[in-house]
Formats: sequence, structure tokens, C-alpha cells
Amino acid sequence: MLSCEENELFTKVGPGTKMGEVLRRYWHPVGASQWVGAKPQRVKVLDEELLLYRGSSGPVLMQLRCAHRSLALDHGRVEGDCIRCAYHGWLYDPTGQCLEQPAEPQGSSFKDKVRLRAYKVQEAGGLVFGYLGPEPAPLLPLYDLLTVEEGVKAVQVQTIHANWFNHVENIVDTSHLAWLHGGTFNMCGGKKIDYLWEKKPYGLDNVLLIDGVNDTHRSCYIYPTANRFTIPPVAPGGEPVRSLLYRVPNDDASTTLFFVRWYPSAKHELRTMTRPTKLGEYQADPTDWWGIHVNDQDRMVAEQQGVIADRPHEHLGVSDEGLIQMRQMMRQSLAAVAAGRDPLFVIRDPARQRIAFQLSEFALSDRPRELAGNF
Amino acid sequence: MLSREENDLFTRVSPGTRMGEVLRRYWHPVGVSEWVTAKPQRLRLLGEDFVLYRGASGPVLMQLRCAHRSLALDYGRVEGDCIRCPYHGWLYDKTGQCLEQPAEPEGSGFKDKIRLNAYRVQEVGGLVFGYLGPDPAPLLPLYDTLTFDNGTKIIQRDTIEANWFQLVENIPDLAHLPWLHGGSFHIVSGKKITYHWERRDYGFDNVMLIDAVSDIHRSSYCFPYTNRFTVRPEKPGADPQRTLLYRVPIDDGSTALYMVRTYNSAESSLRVQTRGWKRDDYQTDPTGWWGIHPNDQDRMAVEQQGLIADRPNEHLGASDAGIIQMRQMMRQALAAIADGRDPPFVIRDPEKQHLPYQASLTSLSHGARAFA
Repeated sequence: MLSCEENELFTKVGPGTKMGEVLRRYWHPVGASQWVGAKPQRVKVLDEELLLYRGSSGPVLMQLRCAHRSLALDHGRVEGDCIRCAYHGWLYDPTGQCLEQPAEPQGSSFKDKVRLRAYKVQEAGGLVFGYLGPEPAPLLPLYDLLTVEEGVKAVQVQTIHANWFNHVENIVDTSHLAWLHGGTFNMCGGKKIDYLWEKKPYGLDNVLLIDGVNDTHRSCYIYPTANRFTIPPVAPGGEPVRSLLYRVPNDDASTTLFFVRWYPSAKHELRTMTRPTKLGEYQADPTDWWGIHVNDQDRMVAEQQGVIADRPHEHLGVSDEGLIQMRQMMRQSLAAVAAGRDPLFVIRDPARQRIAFQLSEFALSDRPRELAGNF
Repeated sequence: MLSREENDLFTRVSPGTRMGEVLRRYWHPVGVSEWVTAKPQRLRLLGEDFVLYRGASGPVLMQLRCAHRSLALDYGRVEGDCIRCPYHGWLYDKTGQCLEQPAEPEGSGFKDKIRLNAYRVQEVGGLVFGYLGPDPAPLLPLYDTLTFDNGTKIIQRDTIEANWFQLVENIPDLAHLPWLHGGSFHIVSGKKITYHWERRDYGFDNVMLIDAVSDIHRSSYCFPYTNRFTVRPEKPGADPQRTLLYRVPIDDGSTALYMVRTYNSAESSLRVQTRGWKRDDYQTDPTGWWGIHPNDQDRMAVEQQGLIADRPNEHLGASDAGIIQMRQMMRQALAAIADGRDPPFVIRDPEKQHLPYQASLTSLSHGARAFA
């Protein structure tokens, strides 16, 4: 149970909020590489509206609105590395510096005084990452699935109509696996299970000891918003699908998922895809325990806890120990930022930038997953 | 004219509001029997969210969200009389008591401490009623139209996007009949009419003395939000329809209508229907006075007063005395609750539970009415 105040503290992410300040200390995916082109696009990250495009020397991320009369620059035109506003032709370079104001008198220095907020970006493993926080920026954590060169990789981008915290709690909430996904995860569905959480350099490992299953099952919570886990193969007898899932708060009521899935293969492929979503609409599956397709089950619970879950009225048990630990880490990060220190797991030492995980490479189901159109 | 404070007082119905407390002393229709099944549904009533389903032994009404991590239980599964949450499998019986928490250690007493709020329900005449207030619950008023099972019965359930109080004010507001409905209420349109309101146990009767019409015309307002009146026959030659209309506050900005119409016929039948109304979207009728079909005229009037009517800027005349009386009853009800007494028309005596039809058996228009 949280107080109303702490529920607000954990969930609000806009500029100036305490949790917003914590999350601004990390790199976040802002787009899928294959979809970031010279056509400028609008993205919302941590309740800030931003512009994203690929200039001639790489992706550019800056504030959405022109400094002149606030036109959204996604209606503008990319010229080399620069973007030109459609309204009066103001031109900005990738650092946000204004270079041209065609209607101003020749020789005017007005343009030199105008600069948009532009943010650091970098590209890795099929994703474009942005950093919205103070300098110096930390290093981008290079998770195994991000840097893997061979095999088949799919990046799925999807919107969840719920606050980010609901969806992050769902990572360490391992006791839902045997119920919500009980129809798919037949290895644990309805079984007696012991739940453990172990502290790791990247966050927590979720550990399941399942009655009648020899191996311990392990997946990883990567602080603050990601996790690493294994799902069933695409086809019978195939390789289980290794997964890395980032959650990026768009604002307090919606979250973008960047779901990186990979399996070893002789061919080398990268695909990007999306599934359109609508609040309250879920793919039906009459064969499932709950009538909802496994692909939509986690989205259903995140959305149907209420856009921001009513934590002042929750009742957590022994099996929810993972949530308690995760929230404790959030409190530590809030305190660190308030004290002028780095929050948890901010990486500044290049020797620690590459991160491998020791997780189970078997899924909790022996059934191939019907990932309709997912690979 | 009301002060801003009193306008708020009359219109707000959520838990903890004073009018919300008044309304929680009555039974409310919460569903149409035929539509309440083992598939759980979400329901909002008086600003609170509930789950409603039909268990093995009857309808169950309880708080929407699981006590564990607040998942909405309308995504759950009914097992006998119980409901199971899909997130972690917590199981609740129909009293809201938690019976199972599959992930908790064996022998844990945690589940015994968890109970959801569950509410009294009863089913009468094709409707499911719920009671959210303190015990002891009063008796459900048994209107003859509700218990009627000797002919044709039609139940309509729809949503109007306006505050409940506007819909209730429209009941004693008789002076709108010859105008808003002037195109279809031929008997009153353009006539000189004297309006009276007569106090009754259940509320009051609306009375009209219409110039050159010998019968006095009477319809009934039943506190807090129900009325009884007669509408044209459904088809030529049939009896006029005795009508009962409940206006149930969903929240401060929307209201559920439950309309029950009955008439004698050789065969008994029950039809349930909904029109799927949308705010600002009204069925047109180019032949009507206002271009809007009679079925949608009242809805237009209450929606287009604004979500909550701006009563601090209204101007009531002598013909609006019914509205003044209705508000006076609301004030009495608020005062009664503040004093720890029952508000008006809370029935506790079984002899007073049955309510015969008091309204005129003639409608205000000629011919049969086209009900879609």
C-alpha cells in the first residue's frame, strides 16, 4: 500500500517532477532505426513533445516547436542535417541553433540568439536512443540483445494506454505468470511455485522454483524500465525467442514499448513492426483461460488497473515481495537525485557498459507461440 | 435561481457528497435481467465503479477492482457464485470475501483479512436492483408497471449524457409539454393550461387542467427520480402504454434511463432494447415543431442545458412551481439524512410496498406512437 502522495511521486514523469528527474538520468529508446528517416516525426518522451528525424549524418532529436511562432516542426522539411520550419522558413541545425530567418532584415543578428533545445542521440542494435538529462550523459548500457550481430531480430513498437509504473511493476510481479498467462505458460499454470528475487548489478533477477520442474526459472529486471526474458519459439522445435523489453513513458497516461526479440539463425535479419492498440480493446482468444490473446494480456492488466493504479487501496502479500524491492530501488534513486548523486545503475565506467545476463533460455511454455506477423 | 453552492449540493452524487448519501438510501436499477449473465460487466453508479454478474444463485454486485493490485474484475471469470481475478487468480465469493490467493504460502491467513465491498441485489420484473446504502435496507417500491406480467412489457435501457438533476426537473416541468412536445402532444399544444402539483406519499402528482378538455390530466412523480405516465399505444388499436421511468445517476455527467412500458395484450411478452444514444446526436423529424423526433426531444433538452445546468443564472416563473416543490423535497431529504432520519419515500412497511398506477390512462396525443 502506498500513500496517495507516494503514488503520485512514483508515477508522474513530466519536466520538474521528481521521478521525471530520475528518469532523465538514463538513455531511453525514442524510435526504431528503420523507421527514422528524413521525414520528420513527432514523439513524446517523459511528457515532452519532441521532433525526431534522420539528418545526413544521423538521427536528430530536438524540441517539437519552432521558437518563432510555435509551429510543430514535424510539418517542416529536412535539409542536410538541418530542419526548416514550414511557417516562415526558419532553419535550425542539429544542435538546435537557428541559422536562417528569411523574413528578417539582412544582417540581423536575431537568429544567433535563437536556439532550440536539442538532445543527445545515439543508435544501437536497431533502436535510436535519446538522453534528456543533465550533462555529462552516462554511457548507454549495451545489453547482449542490443549488440548481437547475427541471427534474426525483430523490434516491435507498441503503445500501452497506462502509466509506465503499472507496466514496470508487472516485470517483478512474477506470480501473475501462472494465472494471467496460465493458458500459455503451461509449465507453471496452476502449479505451486516459490518466488524469489535476487539483487544484481543491473537490477533484480526474478526466480521461480516450480513444483515438478527441475530447472530454476530466471528472468531479469533491468533498472529502471526494462527486462530480459525468454518466450516460446516461433515454430515447433525452433529456438526460444530471447527478449528485451524497454518501456518508455510518453506521459503519465501512456507508455511506448520497444520490444526487441531475437533468435540465433544462419540468416541475419532485422525487422521493425507495430501493433496498433486501443484502450480497452484486446485481441480475443476463445481457447485461452481469460478469453484474451497472450499478446494482449499484459497490456490488458496494465490498462485495467486504472490508467494510474489505485495503490493506496492495494493489498500486497508475501508473493509481492518483488514489487516492494522494486519500489525500494525507486526510493533510493529519488533520494540520490535529490542529494545530487547518480541514481541506481547509471553507468559511467566503459568496462561496465556491456551487460550479459544469466537467465533461463527456456520459456515457461512448451508450445510454440503464435506471434501473428511478429517475425 | 439557486446559489452555486446549492447547485453543487443537488447535483453531485459521488461517495461522500451529501446528495450521494441521500441517493444511497434507495434501491436503484443496475441492469436489465436478460443482459446480466455469467460474463461479468462493468457498471458505474453514483460515481462508483462496480462489477455485476449472474452467479449460480443470482446476480452479484461488488466493487470493480480486486483488492490485490486493483485490476478491474470485469476481465475475470465467474466460478459458481464466485469471481476470479485473471491477474493472480484471487477468488472472491458473492459477499466479497476472498477465498483463494494461489501465490501466497500455504496456510497463510492473509486471504481471510481481504473482503471486497459487496452490495445487496434483487431482481424484479425484468430489472436487477442494487442497494449501496447503510443497513437495514428499505423495501423496493413495487410499482404495478414493474411487477406487470399480464401482457406486453418493453424495457429500454439507455444513457443520457447530462446530470441526473436535469432529468428529474423535467418531470414536474409540465409547461414544456405543449412546447417541446407540441408537435406530437396535440391535446395540449397551443392550449391554455392551468398547472397544479399535489403532494402524495410517493412524491407528488402533476396535474393539468386543459382548456376545453373535460378530463383532468395527471401523471406521478415518485421521489427521488422516477415517474409514471401514459404514452400512446404502440400500435393502432392497442391499449395506451403505462410507463415507468427511472433516472439513475451514473456519475455527475451521465444518467442511465430504465424505461418500462406495459399494456394488456392476449399474449405475454418481454422485450428489452437500447437505442445507443450519443450526446448532440438526435433523430431528426422534419415534420415536428423543432425538427427533432419526439423520442429525442427530452434528451435534447436535458443534454443541451449543459452537463450540469447553470441554475445560478436561471429565471423561474409561476409555471415552474413544480420545480420549486421538487427542490424543496430534495432539501427535506438532505435535512433528514443530516438528522439521521429516513428521507422521503423510503418504504419500510410491507403494506406500503405495492404502488398502484395513479396517472391518467389517456396520453396527450392522438393515434399510435412510432417507437423505433
